[in-house]
Amino acid sequence: MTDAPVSAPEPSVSRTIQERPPRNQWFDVWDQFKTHKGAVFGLGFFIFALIFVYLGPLIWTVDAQFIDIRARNSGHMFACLGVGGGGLFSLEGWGNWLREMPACFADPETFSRENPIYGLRLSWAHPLGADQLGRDMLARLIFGGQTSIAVGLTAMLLALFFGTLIGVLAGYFRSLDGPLMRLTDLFLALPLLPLLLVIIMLFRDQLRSAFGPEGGIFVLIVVVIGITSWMQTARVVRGDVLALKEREFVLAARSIGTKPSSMILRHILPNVMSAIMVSATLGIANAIITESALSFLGLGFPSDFPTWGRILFDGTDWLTSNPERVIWPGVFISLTVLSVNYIGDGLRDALDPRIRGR
Amino acid sequence: MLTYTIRRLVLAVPTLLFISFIIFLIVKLSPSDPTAGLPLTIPPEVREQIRESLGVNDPVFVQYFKWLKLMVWDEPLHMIERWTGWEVGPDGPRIISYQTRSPVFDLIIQRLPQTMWVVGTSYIVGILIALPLGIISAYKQYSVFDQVGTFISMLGFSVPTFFTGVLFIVIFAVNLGWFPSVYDTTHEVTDWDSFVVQFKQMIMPVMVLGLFNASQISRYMRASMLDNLNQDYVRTARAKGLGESAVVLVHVLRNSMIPVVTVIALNVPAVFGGAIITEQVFKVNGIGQLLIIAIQAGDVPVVQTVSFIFAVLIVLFNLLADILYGVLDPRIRYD
Repeated sequence: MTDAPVSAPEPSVSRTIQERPPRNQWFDVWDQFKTHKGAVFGLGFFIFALIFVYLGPLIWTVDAQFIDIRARNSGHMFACLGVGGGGLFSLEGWGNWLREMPACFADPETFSRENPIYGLRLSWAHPLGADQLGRDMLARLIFGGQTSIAVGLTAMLLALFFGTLIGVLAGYFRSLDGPLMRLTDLFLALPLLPLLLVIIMLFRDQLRSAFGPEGGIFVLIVVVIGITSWMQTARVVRGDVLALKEREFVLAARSIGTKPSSMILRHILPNVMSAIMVSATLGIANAIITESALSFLGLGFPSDFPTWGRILFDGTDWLTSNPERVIWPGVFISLTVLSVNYIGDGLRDALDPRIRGR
Repeated sequence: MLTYTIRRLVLAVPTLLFISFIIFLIVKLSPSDPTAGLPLTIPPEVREQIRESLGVNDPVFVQYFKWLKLMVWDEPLHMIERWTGWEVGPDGPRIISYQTRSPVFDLIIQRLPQTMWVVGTSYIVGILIALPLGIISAYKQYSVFDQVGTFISMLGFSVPTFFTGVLFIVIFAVNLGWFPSVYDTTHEVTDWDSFVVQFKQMIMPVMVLGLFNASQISRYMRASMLDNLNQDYVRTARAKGLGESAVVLVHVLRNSMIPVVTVIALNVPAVFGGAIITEQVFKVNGIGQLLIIAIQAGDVPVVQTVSFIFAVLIVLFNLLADILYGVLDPRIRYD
């Protein structure tokens, strides 16, 4: 908007500048982001995971709580790929495989019944199998993913809010810098995992009676992860704000009498957005891992309101007979965290104007 | 340097006081009643007397200082008495576990060797994997080795240990049957065969934790090497005709190790924390498992003590990292 009245002295120069259409800086960020293969894969998988857990229930309408007792402990359909017997190098085994594998996929119930040597219990009614009570694993994974990702996003927002607030206040107001940064150091010295476990042990029952069994544990986990993971964001934001404060545009804004509140909201915050976005991705990864670790230790979500971590924990008792019950939730947790970490890597490169090739 | 160390040691005291107060307060603020487990037939006035004798009705600060004195004065003296045989242990009460009715510090001493063995070995294994990986990755930046190495370290960094642990059990213990899935802490090494058994049962927990540590450290190592490889002194070293191995392994590596060594020191407490999960996966009865059992049983003294020990570890290793930085890097002077 300030560019319009400033006309270049020579028309020819202005024409060559005009040849490149005006672009928003976010297009440049996106162009740089696209060159990072891992980041593009990460974004792709994260979008897939979001679609899987939030739109999945529309297609796979089985209730995650429904108990189909006859199908209990049934395996996943991928077990059909392993039929045939014989070694990797036996021609007969491969022949069997070619004959039996399609039959298994076509009619898994009959195949399982007629070939008891494989010890399979398969059915298209439960493509990823069912747990020890006969609850459908695919529906549980979809449902658990909703909770896991919701916990990750909410806890990240909470941590980001605290971190940005404390970082901006410490960086902008010199008198608050010392106390707030000492507070950050103290929080960094807290033994987080033991403390999280203790808080959950002590306050679980009270919150459960206040917010209901599901809501209570959700609020508790989100809050404890949020208030114990804001420190990195606060440090990064404070550093950026300290550097920004010395810039000319802040001086100019102050010289026309901008109040501190509008100075922070209009001039400082938009300029620390990139640092905040990078720590947001790291925050999601951290929150998902912490939540599943808590659930894995048996102190997170209950079994009838599962997350991926809880499903994995429940599956460890059936490792020998049904390893897929551990592998599927584990793969989902790992790929989600990996994709979010890669998005963070790509964003860090894309948001750094020194790296962004212009 | 000495004055700096002393100043930092003095500054660590308020930090530890604050942390101990938080640990104490969280447990105090929780609405649990120490007499809740007693029979319901006890009349209310007797119940009140029991609370009085337990000191629950004292002001919070009085309770805190009583607990703190036990934690930082009485118990360490008992430890000294135990190790040296000197008669220095005070006669007062000790911190007693609700579950076993024995002093908490005795429990911790029983559990410590297992944790130290697994955690210590895994950290050394992690460093031994990470350093060459980071050095070669940085030296051959953008090569296939670098691409694969960074991908693996990203993977190791993202996949949580409770999944790698369980996956290792599925592959190596269930399908291949190479290693036992449960760590047997009663096993004693007496001869070669029992050593082999011990070695086999340590491989999986050590590798799970070690790979996780390696992926973190190798990222720092690579970044630090990359920072140094483009410095002017490297060009000078090459220009005066030094061999490539001398340039990289003597000049660059020594300078790159400075931040990496501090990161290694800083990560030690986090490794102890992460061992909680690994111990749970492989059923190692170390400190982490003690904590989990105590939490599930509501054993407050054990939980407080173990958390406080973790906090002391964090503060000590932060201090150590800062001091190491000053010792290793002549450009940093704290005075």
